Parts: sequence; structure tokens; C-alpha cells
Amino acid sequence: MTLAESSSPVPGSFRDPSGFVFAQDGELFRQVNQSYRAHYARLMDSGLCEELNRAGLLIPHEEVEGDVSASPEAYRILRPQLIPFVSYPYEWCFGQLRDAALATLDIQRRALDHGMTLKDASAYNVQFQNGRPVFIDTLSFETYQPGAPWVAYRQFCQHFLAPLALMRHTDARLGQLFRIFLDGVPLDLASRLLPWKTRLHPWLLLHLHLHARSQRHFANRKAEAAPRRPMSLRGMRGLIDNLASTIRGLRWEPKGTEWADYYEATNYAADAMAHKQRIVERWIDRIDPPTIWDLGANTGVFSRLAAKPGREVVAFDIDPAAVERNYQQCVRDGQRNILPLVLDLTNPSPGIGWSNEERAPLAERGPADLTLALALVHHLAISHNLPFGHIADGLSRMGRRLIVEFVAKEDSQAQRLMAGRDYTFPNYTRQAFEAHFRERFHIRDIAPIPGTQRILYFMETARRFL
Amino acid sequence: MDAECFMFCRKDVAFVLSVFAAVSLVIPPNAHAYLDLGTGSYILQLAAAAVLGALFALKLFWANVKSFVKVRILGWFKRDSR
Repeated sequence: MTLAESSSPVPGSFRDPSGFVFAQDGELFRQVNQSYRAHYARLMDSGLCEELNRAGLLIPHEEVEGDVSASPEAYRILRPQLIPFVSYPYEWCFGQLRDAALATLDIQRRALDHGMTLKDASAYNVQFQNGRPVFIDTLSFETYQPGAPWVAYRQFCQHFLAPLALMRHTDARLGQLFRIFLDGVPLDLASRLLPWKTRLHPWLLLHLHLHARSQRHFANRKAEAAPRRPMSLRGMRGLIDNLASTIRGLRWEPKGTEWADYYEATNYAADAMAHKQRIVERWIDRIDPPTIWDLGANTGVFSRLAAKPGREVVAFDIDPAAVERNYQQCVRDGQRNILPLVLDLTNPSPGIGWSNEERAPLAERGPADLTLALALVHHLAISHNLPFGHIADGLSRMGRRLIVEFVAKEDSQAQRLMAGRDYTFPNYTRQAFEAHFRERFHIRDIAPIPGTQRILYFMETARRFL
Repeated sequence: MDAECFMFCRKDVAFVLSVFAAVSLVIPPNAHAYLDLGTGSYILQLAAAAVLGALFALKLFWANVKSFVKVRILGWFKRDSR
């Protein structure tokens, strides 16, 4: 194979020496290096890859023949199936991280049945496709050596068990620790942050608290010449089984959400809500967009309206409890084309990792064909003091088209946000809103919602995307 | 949790760890892993696997007993009653 000049390695795929992902002519490929040859052969020949593909646990790929490679070490070039929207653990709710953890352990269990093992257990190896977690790193498997420990045990505890225990027992917002710690939550930190009662849970005591203590105890110990002690396959299976039952035991039912009663306590009547839904649905159907970002989606009422077959909806909300409820609803309904994610729109996911390039910022994962910003702008303008010009500019970067709702200052929800403040937001007017949005968008349609102080706008951005 | 109980827990943890250390006077195997196994993680994993492996064997044994009772004995009674 020859090195193609137009290929470029994808940032975030350089740690594993077995291969890497690269882009060429607008397509994504995964290179398998010569050093991984034997493991890859076993993955394919043992039936493990086929079993995992069939179970929906591993992303399917096809081998590419011909002149495609990114470096001379290439043994095989794979073309993996593409994920509609790449998300990261700091954007997942509790249930998503829990399902990703259980999928990882299920894969490890099946790998052992085929004489293989996972050599890493990073949460970043999991993505969501058709509403379910799927493992994307085809090169994470290696031949199991009898007596060897699970190399990925520490990483599994840092990437899955520690954040899940923290989200369950301390605060659901602690999933955001992933944004600071690239390799998962350090166990000593998790042990400090977890409440004392978790020390009474035997398996959290073992895998987190004693694990952290053991790491500290042996941190600077040099391994003296001593007999190696093998770890039995039964011990490995017992460890995996115990981790799975510990994860299954961690459950979180959100009691309420920041906006839990938003739809119930809304200030307009059911027929006004139905009218709003009809307008939004008609506008969406008119353009039938393949990708939709629902910003401030809450529990996903409008995401469901938008998620017709052939469309992929990403439902963002700042509240982990609302996202959890949305995700659980999707799982219950078998809704495959809505991806609920936690996102603070005023501080969206940045690029993180080496050179800030390993995990892409939100801005690089768009634009969507359509952005929904329903009952959102008054929160940004009033609660977060964002000027209309900034809001219009930010939204114009996210999608080619926009359905946005303007909530007048007289509306009781807007009044609630202004309560207790001396500032009266003199620039918060319909005229100012339209003037600023006209600088970034072409307004194609306007529909006031009868019986309310609210107006819906359908716009197309004037911005040109690459 | 009061201070006395806190001290007890700390001593208890230290004791358990020293037992683990004594039982597991080992060095990590020379695996070709690109991830750092971590000496502390490895030693804890070995000790945990010894216990959890035994519990797993018991769990499988109990599942077999239940399956035997359900399929063979209850099945025999059902056939007999017919």
C-alpha cells in the first residue's frame, strides 16, 4: 500500500499503537497496523466480531481494498459505519453512562468467551447509535493470555464506576468532571467526594474506596523481584460479573427537574400549546430536515414531534434530570432517532485533550439542518443577560434554519425571570429581537400563538457553511 | 458518622489493605499493554478476583441447582400429575 497524500489522522486517535482513524476524500477510515495483525485476525476469525455486530454492540465495518492508507505500517484499512452525531461522556446523562458501562462489560464477557479481552475500557470508545450504546473502537480487542489481569480495570473504574457512583450518591451534575479529567475521575477524588454511606456498600468499598487507597499505598513502591501471581479466568469472569451487578445496582430516578413542571405550569392553555405544536410540525415537515438540534429540549416534547423517520434529532438541555427523563422515555418507547444530551448552551462543550483537539467542540459537530429554540431566548436574554445580537449570532452558527420563539416581556414566564431585579430590560422588545435576527437570518414566516404573548419565527441563516 | 467510628473505619481499611498487600506480593506481569496497569490497581484486582471468582463459581453452582430443581424435579411432578 502507498501513503495517500490527502489523508489526515483524526485527532483523538493516536494513543493506541494498534492503528488510528483518518479522513480521506471526505470519508473516515481506520488503519490496522501490522503490529495488531494477529489480534485482528482472531477478532474476525473467532466469530467475536460477527457476534458483537449482530448484538448491536460493536460498530460494523468493511475492509477496503486498494490504494487507501495513511502510513506504511498499514496491515488493513477498515471503513467503519458512521455515527450520526458524536457525543462525549460529559454530555451524557446518568442512564446513558450506565448503559455504556454495561455494554462495555457485556463486550468484555463475550470477548472472554472467544479467547479475547478488552485492552482498554474508555467511555470515549462508546457512542450512541439508534438510541443504544455501541462500541466504536474495533482495535480494542487483544488475545487473552491465561493468567493475565484485566489491563483496563483501573480505566473502567475511572471512566464508569466512579462517575456513576458520584452522580448517584453525590450529585448528578458531577458527570461534568469528565470535562476536566480526560482519563476519567481519579479514584482518590471520587473516594473523597462520595458520602460515607458508600463505604458500607461492599462493592463500592472494594472497587472505589479500597482501590483508591491501594493506588495511594503502592504509588511509589518499586516492584521488587517477586513471583508473578496469575489471575484465573474464573477470577476475571467473577470480577466482570461483579462490576456489572454493581453498575446495575446504581439506579437514579430524578425526582424533579429544574423545569420539571414547565409544561404543566405553563402559562398558556392546552389549545395554545396544541396550536404551537401544529405550527412547528408544519414548518418542520415543509423542509423535512435530516438533522435537527432541539436546544433547551427539556424532556423532549418537541423533539418527539420532530423525530419522524429519516431524521436524527439531538435534544440538548442543561438539566441532567430532564435529559435523564427524556432518555428513559426514549428507551421505553424504542425511540431510536432522538439523542438526549446535557449541554449548557451558554458554555457549550469546548475542544479538550491534547492541543484542545482530541474531543471536538460542539461548534465542529454541526451545523444541523434545523435548530429549534423554543421558549429559550427569554432565558438567555433575561437570566443570562445575553444581548439579542449575541444570541442571533450563536444560533446562526448552529444550523442552516431556525425555528425560534419570542416570548414578550409581559408574559408571566418572562416576568418570573425578571422578578426581584431592578433592571427592566428596556432593549428586550419584539422590534429589537427582529432587528438583530434580521442581521443574521432571513425571516421566512411569522406566527403569533393565539391567546399568548408569544410569537414563532421560521428563519434561514444568511451564513454560508463549508 | 462520629469521630470514633471514623477512626475505626480508617484502621479497618488499613488492615484490609495490608492483608491484600501481604497476600499479593507480586509484580505486574510484563504485558504488552499500552495502558498503565498501575501497581495499586493490579494488586487490588488480584485480591478482588480471588474472592469474586469464588463467589462467581458459587453463583453458577446455585444457578445450576435452581435449574435442576426447576427442570428435572418440578418437571417430573408436573408430568406425574398429568
